[in-house]
Amino acid sequence: MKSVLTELPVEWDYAGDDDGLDAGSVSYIKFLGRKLFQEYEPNQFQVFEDRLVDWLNNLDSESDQKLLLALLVELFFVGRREFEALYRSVYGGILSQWIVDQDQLNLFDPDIDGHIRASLNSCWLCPITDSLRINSFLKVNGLKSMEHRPDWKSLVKFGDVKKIKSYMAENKIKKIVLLEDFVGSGTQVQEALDYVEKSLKDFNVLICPLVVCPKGDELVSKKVEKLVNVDYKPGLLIPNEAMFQRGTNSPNPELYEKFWQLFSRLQGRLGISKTEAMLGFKKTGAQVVMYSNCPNNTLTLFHRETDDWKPLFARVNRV
Amino acid sequence: MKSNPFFELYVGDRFSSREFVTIFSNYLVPHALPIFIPGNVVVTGIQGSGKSMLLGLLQPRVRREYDIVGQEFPVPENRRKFLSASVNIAHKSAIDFGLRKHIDENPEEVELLFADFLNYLIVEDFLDSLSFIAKGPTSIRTEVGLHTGDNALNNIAPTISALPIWEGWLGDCRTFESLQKRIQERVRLYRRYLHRKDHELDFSIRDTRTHIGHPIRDCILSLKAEGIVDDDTSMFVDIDQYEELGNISTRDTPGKHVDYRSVINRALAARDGAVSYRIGARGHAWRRHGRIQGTTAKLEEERDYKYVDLDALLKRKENQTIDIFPDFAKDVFARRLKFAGFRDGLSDETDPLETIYGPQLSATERVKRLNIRQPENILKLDTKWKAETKAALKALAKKDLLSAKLGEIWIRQKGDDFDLNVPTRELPWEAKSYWRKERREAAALQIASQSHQRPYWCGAQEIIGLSGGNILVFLSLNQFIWDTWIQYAGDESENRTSLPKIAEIVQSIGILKASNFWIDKMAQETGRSSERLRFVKLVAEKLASNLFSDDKLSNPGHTGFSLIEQEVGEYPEILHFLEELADYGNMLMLDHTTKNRDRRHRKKFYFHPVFCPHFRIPYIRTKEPYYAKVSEVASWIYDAGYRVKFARESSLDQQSLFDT
Repeated sequence: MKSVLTELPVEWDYAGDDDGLDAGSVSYIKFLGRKLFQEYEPNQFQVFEDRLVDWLNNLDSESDQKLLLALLVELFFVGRREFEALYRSVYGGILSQWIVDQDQLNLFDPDIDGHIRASLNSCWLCPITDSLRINSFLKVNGLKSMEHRPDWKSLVKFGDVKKIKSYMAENKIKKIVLLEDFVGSGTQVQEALDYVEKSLKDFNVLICPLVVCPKGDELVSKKVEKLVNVDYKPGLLIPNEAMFQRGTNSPNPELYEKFWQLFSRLQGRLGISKTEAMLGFKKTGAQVVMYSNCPNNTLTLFHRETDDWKPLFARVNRV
Repeated sequence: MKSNPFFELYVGDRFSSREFVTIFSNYLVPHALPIFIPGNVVVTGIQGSGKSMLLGLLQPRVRREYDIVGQEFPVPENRRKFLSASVNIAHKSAIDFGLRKHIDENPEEVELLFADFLNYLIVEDFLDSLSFIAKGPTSIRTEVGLHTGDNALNNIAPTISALPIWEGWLGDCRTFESLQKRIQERVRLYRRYLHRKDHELDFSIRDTRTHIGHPIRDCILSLKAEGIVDDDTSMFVDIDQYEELGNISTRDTPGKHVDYRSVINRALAARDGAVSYRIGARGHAWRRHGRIQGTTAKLEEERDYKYVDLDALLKRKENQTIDIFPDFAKDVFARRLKFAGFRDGLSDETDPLETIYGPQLSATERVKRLNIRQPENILKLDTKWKAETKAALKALAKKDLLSAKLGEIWIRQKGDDFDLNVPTRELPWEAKSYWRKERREAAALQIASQSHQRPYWCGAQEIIGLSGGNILVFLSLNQFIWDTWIQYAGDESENRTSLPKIAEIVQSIGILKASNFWIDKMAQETGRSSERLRFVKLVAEKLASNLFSDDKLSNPGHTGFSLIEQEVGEYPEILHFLEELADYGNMLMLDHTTKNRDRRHRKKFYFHPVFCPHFRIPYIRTKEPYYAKVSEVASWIYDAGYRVKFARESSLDQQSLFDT
């Protein structure tokens, strides 16, 4: 019998153990829907719960729908306020520590906060891609920085090294801080690092992504090892256990095996030939969505849109 | 309503005096009157039984708050003439004696130092409380019999500092403040030593050690002799969290064990008319440690102290007319709601617990809530049964699945020899009300299990029942239910002032979460917590599995087990482990009036009701528990990881239980 939902069934909230849904999952999702998921910008004019019902209705059977909902319970959604907290946290922690080390500041100096702020303002604080909202970052932390704060993805593509260096000299920039909101596989950071390696070896650089997946962390760490002028310090490293994994490494092997079987049945509808590709870009298996967009490293059935599949967090892709 | 009214569970310790007045339920006071009568009193009860709240009434700040808000102080008028000093063992660094590694090199010396430290803590708090009352309103001063105001406090200092008990260590204190500072200085020096800031304790301290209880006794006697305090004013010293003393680290060097509890026992054994002690402790932790410091004697109840057992007071009584817990819980519930800002529906005539949670669902209703699409498929009908029997039960299942299930069980037990073509109420199992009553809860849970659904737990009485006489569990159940409700209700939950009606499903989710929480919480407790957790899980799963696989439901009462008292008494390690389970509230330990002909005294053990939703076993105790052998329980304990050789107490050859 085909199950077509018009709303989230309250009775699922206390369904049997076999469904993989913990008691209270529906109310938990409803609560997060109102408080958090509703912030998702690409769908800001749609009610989250309506999208959720559409997403669940991609599937015909009630047990599959429950399984999909159980997958949503596992999701880590980083909302606007969480990002603002991360902005503050990396400023007060990683960035400040880096400045103290770089400038060899005296920690017992009563004006230490002022020195850190002044020193950071003299750095070139730039985003690696335009998804990190540098203006918000500076405002939240009361920083000024340089007048121009280009994203390095564009800079690498269109920038003229001479012009860049002359801008840095004019503004007496000695240090560069590169920020990024999310690093999945690490590809985009790698491009920025290649540029630093090739053209900006004389400057001290800090790479500080706010949220990093283990794969990206491994790649960036390895790359940075060879670069003496570059430090890498992530704001929040997602633990391996929070990535989609099968088998004994999974937090719930039985449930995750059921997810995997579901992926295998759905891959065709999502235009995917191998089940592994359901784990997102470079098989990262992230279960992360940000309020601003859904990373392509996240499980495909959250964000991929096809004629036969409505996503829950439709992703805004670059052309 | 701003947030969950049950967010803070431990009010005794953390609420301010002002909040205490709003939230404290005086319901238990008349049942614990010895606390306010001269003479030593031991108040025992598991965590959450309300010990700290009751003992909180001895504190002057709490008394003053009642005065400020114009509420009647809950202590009876003729029992209010007392001064007090209070020491919370856990909060006052008294347990930090365990931080010194060489502490059991000389246990007698450590016990003497501990006594001195405790003495100064008591006097420090006494002076603080005296000054608080002296600075307060005349009415309270008169009530306690203190004849000095704030200005005259300084006159007390020379009197106290000149007492010979200090052996000159305090010096000549001219002002009350300097007296307080000097006492605090000694406490500070102890803490520096305990926290290893000072390598050695100052010699002048070792040289002027005081005997337990003597300084506070001399202080109060001198104040009475000077006419500053009335002769008939009682002096209460409240020592809370006594059991923490048993957890102080020690190297367990044979024969060199520091017995901190014996120090306090010595104070009680003095039976000093001038000072009365109030000890807050867990039940068996108290009873097992009666040794008195420096002697081979033990404390005796009634002679050395009176005993207020809150567990016994609050343990759910089978006779509901003498069960005080429901009214206590309802009072606490209403106070919490009032404190959270609810205004409507909290009059004396209403029962907010029932308004919000509704009445308890009957077993039949609970089965109906499962909404089973094909109820007849739940029945396990034997192919050999008569076609009419099977047809009748299937037809009944569509109307009343529980009755049909009970019918299936009945026929399994009694045989397929009944005419079922009769009105429902005349069906043989429906007519046998006791047989039905004893099995309906277990049968309802069997149905939920067979239909792969979670059973419903809801209703005012059920929440009280699942609390098992523990107010902390009661609050925790409410906390989880309200958390779930807030998730459902959203903004509505933040704005309303009238009582909500919380749906059965929301209650069930909250109760299941609370049950899981209490299981997990076991591991965080002190003592042999991980062994206790494993024991509870192992035995509960064993009993639940037997219960669900018992198609005849011949033993619906096997949700707990029973042991012969004498037999278990022969194995002290087993008894202590079971007592520890009871002390921590993990299991209920009750006298068991056996149906056996031998009439031997037995003890029965049931899981705390709050664990039951997790294990899906009925919490309502019915019929006979499982009659276990001591060796069987020993093997459960062993399987739970408690690796102690269980030996008979009286046996000379110390034969292991497992060898028998």
